[in-house]
Parts: sequence; structure tokens; C-alpha cells
Amino acid sequence: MSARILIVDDEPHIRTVMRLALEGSGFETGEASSGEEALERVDKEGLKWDVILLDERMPGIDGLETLKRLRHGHPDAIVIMVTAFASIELAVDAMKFGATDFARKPMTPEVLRATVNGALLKVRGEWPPAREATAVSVERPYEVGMFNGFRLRHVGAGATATEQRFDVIGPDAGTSRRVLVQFAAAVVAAATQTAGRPLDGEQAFWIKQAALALTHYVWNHADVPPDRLLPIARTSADLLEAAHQAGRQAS
Amino acid sequence: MSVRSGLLASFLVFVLALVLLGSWSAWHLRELGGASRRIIADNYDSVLAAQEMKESLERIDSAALFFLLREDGRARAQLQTHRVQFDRSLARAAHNITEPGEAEIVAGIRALRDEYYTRFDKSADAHVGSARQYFDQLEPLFNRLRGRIDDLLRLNQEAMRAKSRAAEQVARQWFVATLWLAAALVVASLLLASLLARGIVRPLRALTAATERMSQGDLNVSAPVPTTASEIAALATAFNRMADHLRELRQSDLGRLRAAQQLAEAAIDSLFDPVVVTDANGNVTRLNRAAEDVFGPETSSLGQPISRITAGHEIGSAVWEAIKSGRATASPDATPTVTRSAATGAAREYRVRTTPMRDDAGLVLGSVTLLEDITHLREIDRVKSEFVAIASHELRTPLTSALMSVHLLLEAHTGSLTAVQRQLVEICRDDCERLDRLMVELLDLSRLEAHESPVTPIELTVQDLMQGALETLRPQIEAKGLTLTVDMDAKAPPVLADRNQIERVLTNLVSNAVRATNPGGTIAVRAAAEAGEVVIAVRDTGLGIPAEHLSRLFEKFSQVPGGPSGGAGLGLSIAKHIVEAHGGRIWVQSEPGRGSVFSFTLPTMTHPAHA
Repeated sequence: MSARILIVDDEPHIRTVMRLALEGSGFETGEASSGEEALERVDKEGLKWDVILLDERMPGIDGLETLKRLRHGHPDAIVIMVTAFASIELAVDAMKFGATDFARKPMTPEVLRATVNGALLKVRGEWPPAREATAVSVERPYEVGMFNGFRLRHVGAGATATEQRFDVIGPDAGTSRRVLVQFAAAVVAAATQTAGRPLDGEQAFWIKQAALALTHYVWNHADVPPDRLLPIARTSADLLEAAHQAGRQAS
Repeated sequence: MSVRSGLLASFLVFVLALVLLGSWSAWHLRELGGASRRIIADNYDSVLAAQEMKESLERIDSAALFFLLREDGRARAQLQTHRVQFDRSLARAAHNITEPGEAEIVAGIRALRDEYYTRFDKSADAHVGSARQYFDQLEPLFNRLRGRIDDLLRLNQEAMRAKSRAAEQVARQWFVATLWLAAALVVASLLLASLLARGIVRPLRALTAATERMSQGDLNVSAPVPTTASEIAALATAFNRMADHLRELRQSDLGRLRAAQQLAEAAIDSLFDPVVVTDANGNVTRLNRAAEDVFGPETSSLGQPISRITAGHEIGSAVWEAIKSGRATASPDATPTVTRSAATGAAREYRVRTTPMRDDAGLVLGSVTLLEDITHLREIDRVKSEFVAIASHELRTPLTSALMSVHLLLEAHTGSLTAVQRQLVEICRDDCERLDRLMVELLDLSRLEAHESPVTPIELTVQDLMQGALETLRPQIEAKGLTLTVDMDAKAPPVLADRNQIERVLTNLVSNAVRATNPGGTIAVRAAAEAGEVVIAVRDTGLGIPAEHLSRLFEKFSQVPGGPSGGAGLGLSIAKHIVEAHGGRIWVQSEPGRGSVFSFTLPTMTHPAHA
């Protein structure tokens, strides 16, 4: 495939290696060293780029601002945010601004290619599914987001609400692996205590937490968990915060 | 004067009055009796005597007639008898001369009698019974004698009458006098009694009133000490002494209470953290200085419902929760309360901790809320997060190009490498990937719960402890086509373990075992008593661990090269930490190609934790 990829990053090294990686797979590439430069190029040449790799943190206009302005002029531009976000929660924040595809720095060339290929599905109309429409659901980011070329689809619960199954699709469209996310009793107990009411039956809560945990794993490892099982044995501050909110809502 | 003597005195007076009245009456009665006796003695006898004389005279006179009628015998007899009687009576009358003039009359009677007797005898002897003699001589004498006797009679009768009248008068006088005396005595007695009563009752009433007031709680009373009624005076004095003592006691008690209260208030005030005390209805009763800084002066807040004072904060609901449920509540660490300090205007973050106050009976008296200042903790948290965010970007950016470069070097389209070059590039690639993983773990660490929860062991049987965890892990094991065998020694003594924490250890060991073992293998979990300890072992038939890595296996971030990746490298170090916190030991035996056994001990009641 000779899709055209625009690489936007202020670091020359990163531009170089990304270009080499993508050209090695037969992509056509272009470079911009800043948000402003990228916007200029698009303005001048029109949106001839199939996918734009956009570094999130740049001097001048940062990635999110560039994305906003880009989308303003070209609402169907396909943009992959390249970021070193430590956790997925920050990515979810970016989704409020209309970002849906993410690639994590540092990555291997394979991951980069998988991400680009995943994004190209959009070009071909194969992804996302029709129900996504244009609205980005921040509540269920896993349904619309692509992380390092992986997407999640919720399948159903396991034995209890604290076990949830997802299909992880990626790195290419044809690969789908089913993963079970399991929360340890200690974690469930901690969440219940924080919420002030029993949470073990709350499907919606655990689906979201499981999706977040699995997305986080995929984000950090660019792969499914070993043995398709992701046991969550430790609580995180964000899970407790979500539990606290859940407790508040009920009362 | 004492009550006793007063009573005695009044009694005596009363007795005296009675005696007086009685003596007066008795004396007069006696007098009266004397008067009667005197009447009888003095006059009645004379009257009788006179009447007898008259009767005798009549008979003598009739004797004379008998003589006239020539009845001499009868005449003489009668004469004899009645002369004797007359004489006797006259003697009686003469014996009873009491009135003035009575002696002359009696003398006259005697003289007349003598004359009459003489004339009579003469007549009798003359026998000349001439009626004429009788009528000429005897009869006038008879009449004169009778007249004289009548005089005597009259005299005595009048005397009697007079005496009776006198007595009557005296009696009447005495009656009136007695009435007056009695009245006077009654009045005097009444007066005396009322005086006495007043002297006793008034001070008693005053004393009673004072006692009543004191019982109501007013200790500033004093009873008047009467000058009379010394017993009551003594009582009043004693009462006043008692009142003094009670006042002193109360002062000292109050003093002590006040001192204690001041101490408690000072203690609360000295706390840097704001403290809010409410009653059982949620109204504010106390704000310490720090709380006043935050919520405004205590004076304007006292008595207000807590939610009004701390508007916008969750303190109100925490207070109600604590009072209703009777248990302490605390806001979750994730959502502290933010307040603005009135003094400095600085915003500080607090964790709200509310505890109900109970009395000895267990009744909820109110609540105490402590706002724990965690501003600097949160600040540290924020700085840490900021650092992590910056570090993640800064460290990862150069690693991106490095990692990509080495990967690209190994790809065909960048040119071929010599064997040595390939080896070098592979080394670089491996280490870059290792760097990447390290950074992932580091950043992951910072978002996961930083502190380890304290180990709270309870006594559990081994089955109880492990059953739940193992059943949860079974699907994972069997999903990989492995067999799980469980061997619990029923005779093993109960262990002291924190269920959640040991579950974590088990989960970690079993997950490692599953990862290390290929499908078709076995994972055996065994718990047995050995030399007084309980040993739990997880054995797998997996890849095994080379001897040189065994010693460092339980350290943080340890990874066995060539071993199954995917773990954070922390599981075993955490497991070791937990087991050692329980007072147990953890160790591993392994043979590459044969499998590994991870074992740990837990303390029992008889074999408590090692120091």
C-alpha cells in the first residue's frame, strides 16, 4: 500500500526513524517539525495525507491544539496522537478533544506500522463500526479508541461482574484474541469500602474498569496479556476515585 | 433562754395559774362550806332549840290545862317530861349563844321560865284551879315566855337569813372574781403561749425556709440565729456552718471542674488541626482556634447546625453519618475537603475524620470532627505526579529514536549486517527494550497504591485461607491446559494470617507458575505442618530457574532473562514483603527443565512470628 503518512514531531531523530520505519513498509512519508508547519502544509497542499502522525508535546502549538485546528478545516482527517503518556487516563482526556487513535512513545517499528495500518482501516471505512458515528464517547473510550494499533470490543461478563471478557483486535484487522480481565477479591473489597456500598454486582463499573485496565496493558506492552488473562491484584488511585464516584451516585 | 426552759416555765406558769385558781376556788368553797356550817352550827341549833322550847312550852301549857281539868297524873307526867325537855333545849340555846342580843334573850327566857315555873308550881299546888288564875297569871307568862322564845327564834332565823344572804353575796362575788381571774389567767396563758410559740416557731420557720432554699440549690443562705430558743439557735448555727462547708465544697468542685474544662479546651485549642465538636443534634458546640480560622469565630457558630457553618463541605454529612451509625467516618483519601484559611487566605486540604462521642452508657452525646491537614502530603503527591509526567516524556523521547533505530538496523531494508554487528545490535535492542519495560514499571508503580496496607492477621484454618484464592485461580490454570492439585493437611494447626494479603501472595506464585509451565503440566499447591510451622508450597512442572538467578529472584524488578515476561517484576518482592510482615519466610527451589517450588511459612498460635 502506498498510503501517505505525514510525520509531525519537533525531534529530528524521531522523524528520521519513523520515516525509515514507514518507508521500509512501502509508505510514502512527509515531515513537519512543528504544529504550525503541519498546518501550513495541509493548507497549501490540501489534505493529501491519509494519516497524520502527530506528536502530542511540541513547542509552539502543541499536538492537541494542532489537532483541533486541523479538524476544524478537515473534519475527516485521520490523526494518530503520538505520546509518552504514562497512563491511559490522560489519553482519555485527549479524547475529549476528538483524538481517538494513539501510539505510545517509545515504540518498535512493528507497533508503529500496526498503528498506521489500523488507522488506515478508517480510510477504507472498515473501522470504526457504524455505531461510533462522530461523537467520541468518553465513557466508553475503548469502543472507539485505537491504542498502538489495538482496539477492544466488550464481549460479556465472566463468572461474576468482576470478571469481564474483551476481544482485542490487532495489530492487524484479522487478529482477534479474547482476553479475560479479572479483579482480585482484595481490589473488589477496597473498591466496595471506598464506595460505601457493595460494588461486586455493578456490571457497568467493572466493565469500565476492566476496559481501562486492559487498554492500559495494551498501551504499555503493545500486546495482549500472557495467557489471555489479566489479573488485577492491586488497586490504583483512579479505581478508588471511580469507586468513590460510584458510591456518591447511588446516594 | 432555751426552749426547754421556756416550755418548762410556761408549763409551770400554767400549773401555777391552775394552782392559783384551784386554791382560790378551794379556799372560797371551804369558806362557803364554813359559812353553811356556821349557819347550822350557830343558828340552826338555836332555832331547833327554840322550836323545841316552844313545843315543850305548849305541852307544859297543856299540862296546866290538864291540871285545870283535874288530870293531875297526866299533867304531872307531861309537865315533868316537858320541863326537862324545855330545860334541855334552853340549855342548848344557852350553849349556842352566837348573835348579839342572844344572850339577853336567853337570859330573859331563863328568867321568864323561872317565873313561869314558880307561878306554875304555885298554881299547881294551890290547886285552885281557877281558870282565872290560869288566864290571869299563867297565860300571860306563857305568852311572854313564848314571845321571848319567838324572839330567840326570830333572832336566829334572821341571823340565818342574813348569813345566808351574806354567803350568797360572797358566793356571787367569788363567782365573778373567779371568772375574772380565770379569764385573766387564760389571757395571760394565751399570751405567754403565743409568745413562747413565736419564740420557737419563728426561728423554726426561718430555718425551714433556709433549708428549703438550700435544697433548691441556693447555697448562699444563712439561717437567722435567734437570741432566745437556744436549741434552735444551736440548730441554726449548725445549719449555717453546714451551708458554709457546702459552699466551700462546691467552690472547690467547681474550681476543679473549671480547671479540668480549661485544660481540655487548652488541649483542643493547642491542636494545629481544626476540631469541630457538635452535640447529638448536629449543632456546633465548640470550635478550636484552628477551626475558627477556617469557619469563623466560635461565638457566631455556637448552636448552629454543622452544615450551615461548613457549607459546601462534606463535613455535615460525615457528622450525621457518625451520629446515626455510631461509628467513626472518614473522607476517602482521594477526595479531601478543601478549605480556605480565613487568617492567611491560603487554601489547605484536609482529610475529614468524624468520631461519635459516647457517655458511659453508650448513648451518643455528639461528634468530634478532626480536619487532618494533608496539604503537604497532597502537595508531594502532585509534585510526584508532575515529576512522573515530565520524566515519562523526557526519558521516553530519546529512547524512542534509540529503540526504533536498533530495530530498523535489524530489518532488511536498512542493509545487512555482519554476524558480529548483528549481535551487537541485538544486544542494544534487548537493553533498549529492557529500558522501556523498566520505565513502564516505574511509571506504573507511581500510579498504583503507594502504601502497603498493614497486615491484620486473624486465626484461620489453612483450608479457609486458601480455598477461595485457589478456586479463583483454577479457571486461569485450566484455561492453559494445566492441572491444579490441592493438598491440604487437615491436621495442620490454624495460622495467623491476613486473608487478603496471603491471597495476593498465592495469586502471584500461582500466576508465575502458570506462566512458566507449558500446557499439560501440573501445578500442585500443598499445605502441611512441618516442625510446628505451617508450610505452603506451590510446585510447577515448568521451565525452572537457573541457579545463578535464584538468589536475586525476590528483589524488585528482577526478571529472569529468557523467562516468561509480562510480569512487573515486582510480584515476588511484594510476596516476600508480605510473608515477612507476617513473620514467615519465603524461599524457592528450582531445577531448570524440571520445575520450581516456591514455599513460604505462616505463624501459628504455638509458633508465633519470628522477630
